[in-house]
Amino acid sequence: MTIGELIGAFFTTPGPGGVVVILVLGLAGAIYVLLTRWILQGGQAEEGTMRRLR
Amino acid sequence: MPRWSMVIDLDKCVACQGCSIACRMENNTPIVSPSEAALGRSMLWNDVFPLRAEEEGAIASAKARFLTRPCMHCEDPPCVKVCPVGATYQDDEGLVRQNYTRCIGCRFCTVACPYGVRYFNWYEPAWEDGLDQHLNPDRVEGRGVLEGPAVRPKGVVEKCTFCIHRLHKARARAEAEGRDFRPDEYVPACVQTCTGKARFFGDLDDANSTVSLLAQSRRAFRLLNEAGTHPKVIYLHEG
Amino acid sequence: MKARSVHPDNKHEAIILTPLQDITTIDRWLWALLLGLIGLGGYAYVRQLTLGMGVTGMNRPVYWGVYITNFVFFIGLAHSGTFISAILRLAGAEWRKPLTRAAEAITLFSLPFGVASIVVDMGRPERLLNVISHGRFQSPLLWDFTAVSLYLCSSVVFFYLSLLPDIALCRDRLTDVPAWQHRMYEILALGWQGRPEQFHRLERVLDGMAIFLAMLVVTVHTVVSWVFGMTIQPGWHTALIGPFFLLGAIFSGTAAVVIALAILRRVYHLEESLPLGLFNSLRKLLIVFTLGWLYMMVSEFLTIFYGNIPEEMEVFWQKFTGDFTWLFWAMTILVFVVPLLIFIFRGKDSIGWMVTASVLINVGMWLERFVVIVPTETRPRLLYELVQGTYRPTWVEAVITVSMFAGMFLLYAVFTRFFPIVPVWETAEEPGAEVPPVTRRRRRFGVRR
Repeated sequence: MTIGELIGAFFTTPGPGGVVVILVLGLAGAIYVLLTRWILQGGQAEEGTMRRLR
Repeated sequence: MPRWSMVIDLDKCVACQGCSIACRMENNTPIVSPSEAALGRSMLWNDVFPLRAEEEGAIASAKARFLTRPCMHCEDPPCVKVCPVGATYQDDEGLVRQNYTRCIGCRFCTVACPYGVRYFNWYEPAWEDGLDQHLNPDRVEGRGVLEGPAVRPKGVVEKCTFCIHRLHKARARAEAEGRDFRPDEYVPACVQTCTGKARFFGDLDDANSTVSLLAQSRRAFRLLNEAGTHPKVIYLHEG
Repeated sequence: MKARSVHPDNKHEAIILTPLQDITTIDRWLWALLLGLIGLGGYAYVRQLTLGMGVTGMNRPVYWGVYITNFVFFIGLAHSGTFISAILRLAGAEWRKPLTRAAEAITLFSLPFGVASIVVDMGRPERLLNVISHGRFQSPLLWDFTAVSLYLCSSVVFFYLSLLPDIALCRDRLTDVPAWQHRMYEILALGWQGRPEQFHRLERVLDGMAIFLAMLVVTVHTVVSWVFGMTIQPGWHTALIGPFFLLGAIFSGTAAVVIALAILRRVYHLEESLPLGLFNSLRKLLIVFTLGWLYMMVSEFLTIFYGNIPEEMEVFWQKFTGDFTWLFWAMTILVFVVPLLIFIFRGKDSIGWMVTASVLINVGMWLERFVVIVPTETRPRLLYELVQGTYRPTWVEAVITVSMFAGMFLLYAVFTRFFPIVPVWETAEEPGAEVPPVTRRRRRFGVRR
């Protein structure tokens, strides 16, 4: 199978399209979850030190 | 592998609509009420249209002209391109097929087809006066596949298949008799019934087939050739 | 342990939080009315499901009608929020701040109905997941599916993140609300504490997402238009359809923001936090969009007219003098002529006139979507000589359309009663740079008390 055929098959075969949808949404979802956690953790380390100092 | 093609000689066509009726009986297309038909919801996989009278100067042509139109089974079908689920697809022999179990009824293909050969099941199909007792039992069936004359559920798209079930039957017969299948063993119902013998069917890849020879005619033309769809239904001009 | 948070000072805080504290009888009646309309729509849809798509006015060759029009319209409306809050955020337009949430809420609550329109339009909605299990990426519908669902999920996140500090505010300030409501704030606030570093990271993420969303806006609506553009039907098969749809989307979305703002200002007495100046800024934007719309119209139709290709002209004349004459010219007047006159001569400092123009624009834009989609189908390429289509929507389509708008209003109305519709933390005092350095932020918000 040449690379051209492979690209063609990606577009024309029923199936890969659904995988793309799942991948895109899954990736976006994962990134958003990580970003949200990152935001919420902002300043936590700092506070931990302060508490220890106290 | 044959490349199925149909030639329609408009010179011989008498617009009897026999092809439409044969198609209806062969493929179990549902019958709709006159009010539904007025809405443009009648189902005629093979339809016959009157053409507008041509006017040359002040004189309108007195001769009524007609065009009969099955699915073009394009080499490059716009309907297949837009189907999101592969419910309509082109097989190895160039037939554009329709899988009723896969179709989601989005009607993208019906909109994309420039020939308007695709029909949507607006309601559950119905037949009156016991006609449903006389349906064609043939069907093309497999896992997740339902094609051909099998009665369609509501909400899916259907279209002319070049009588795919007849092809399957002819192949099966050849196999049962232990010989090779010959492309001239099968014709769709409309070709078989044509009153004026205006329709020809066969393998376009066989240089000696009737369709190949007729395709060379100077009268040969294809509908909307400029649309880039490369139809495999070839018409022969009148006169 | 109950989490508590530091909140930036905002002198309008009390007024902004007032609507959240008591739900009036009028509210309940309004919600009941909207729910009733949704119920009617549900009834109509069940009828369509059980009997078949035949209960709509769609036919051959007009296979797509009001539902697809709604789909394009709702997705277009959804671009309001992203435009106002993402693109203007990138442009550093400070005036947008008080109205960001009101605009984003439109995005959030109209997108689901865009998606629902597609499902309602399907002949076999129960096979929707075939798009996942057998998806073919060659079909523009798959592009739509990917782009719209990504857009939906991204705007939910964008909206939620910018709401986070205010949910925490509700959690800390609204202690006398019903227990379940307070519990809801507690859960949704995710333990937000308002630490300076949290605010800093939030701003950074919102900025980053704004860039991504700005790209998505362009992609989503272009892809929506490509569903039409990728066919070879006359009137649809034009490269301009993408930009045209996009401009129309932002146009109708911005007009919708004007309507929403005016209602909120009036009903919730937010005159101080939503100053008149906002309407004047939006007015300038809308003037640009109105003229942009004219530019697109002229480019499109002049090209078709000079090309004089027979099948294109069939559709062209359908719009200008044929079956769609009334709709076409009504659209031109509603979207362009009257709004432009209003904006230029009456719109300044007048909310009433701005709302009038915005309502007209949105009615007109719905018509525009309809006039782009349907006339082409009545004169398809081959069939324009053979079969000529007509289309008359039925009550089922009308009721389902009304119920979808009712659903959007309901979500919006309910939302404004449970969450602050003006961002409290973003409109906090001390106007300054969009993202001040951390040290200055610390000074602004103080250290944890």
